[in-house]
Amino acid sequence: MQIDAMSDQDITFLKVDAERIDASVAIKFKDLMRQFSADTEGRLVLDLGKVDFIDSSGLGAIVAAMKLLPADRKLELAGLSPTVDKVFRMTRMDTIFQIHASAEAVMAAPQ
Amino acid sequence: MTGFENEVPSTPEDVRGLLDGVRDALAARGRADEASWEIVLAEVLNNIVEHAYCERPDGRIALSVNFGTDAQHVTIVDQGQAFPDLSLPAGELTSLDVAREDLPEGGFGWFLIRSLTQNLEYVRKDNSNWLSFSIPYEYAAH
Repeated sequence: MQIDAMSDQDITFLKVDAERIDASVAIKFKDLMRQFSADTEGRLVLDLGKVDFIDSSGLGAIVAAMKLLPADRKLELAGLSPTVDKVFRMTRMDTIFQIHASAEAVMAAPQ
Repeated sequence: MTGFENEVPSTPEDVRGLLDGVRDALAARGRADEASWEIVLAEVLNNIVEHAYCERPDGRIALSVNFGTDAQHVTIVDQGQAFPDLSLPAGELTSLDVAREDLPEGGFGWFLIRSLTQNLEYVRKDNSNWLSFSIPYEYAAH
């Protein structure tokens, strides 16, 4: 799996280039996120637009990625597919993140 | 055809193959929209690889799915370690009203499995784990 970084104004978009974040890629995902967290500043948006499916390992990896950030930085999510959204809602983890409909919606929304 | 059956080695790649097989079987029955089944099967099968077989790739996992009128009926058999106390985890979620560093990174799997299945049963017999459950369909077939 790969993550592609793109900056727009003071926002860094991290687009996950994979259709699944599951047990087999969770560790690699966490390692990549650790790197991006250290190398960037400002708002951080994880674009999950391409991701069709996450399992509990994938969910845990996304939470772990958020926990890597200092207290004054949060991890925002964008582009959750219906199944991914379902996993977040069922586990109530949708209350922990700011969730946007899409990466485009992040740019259109007020801060 | 009423079902899908396969037996594979206990590796993540083979688990993905099982999920692909079930997905194709559902699509062939006009049920490509179904999604909950994959959450359940991914969790159960990953648990077998990680905990029953402790990541050893030389185990076997047998999956059998019967496509009923209202639900999929699933049976999974493996020869890995038994569940502790021969019982299934309760899968309770912990509070999220905690400091960021204390947020949970795990413990979601059995909650998801229990939330999305019915008639969940576990039996240990002949040195094997037998897990069965039903996953109700979310949509009408088309």
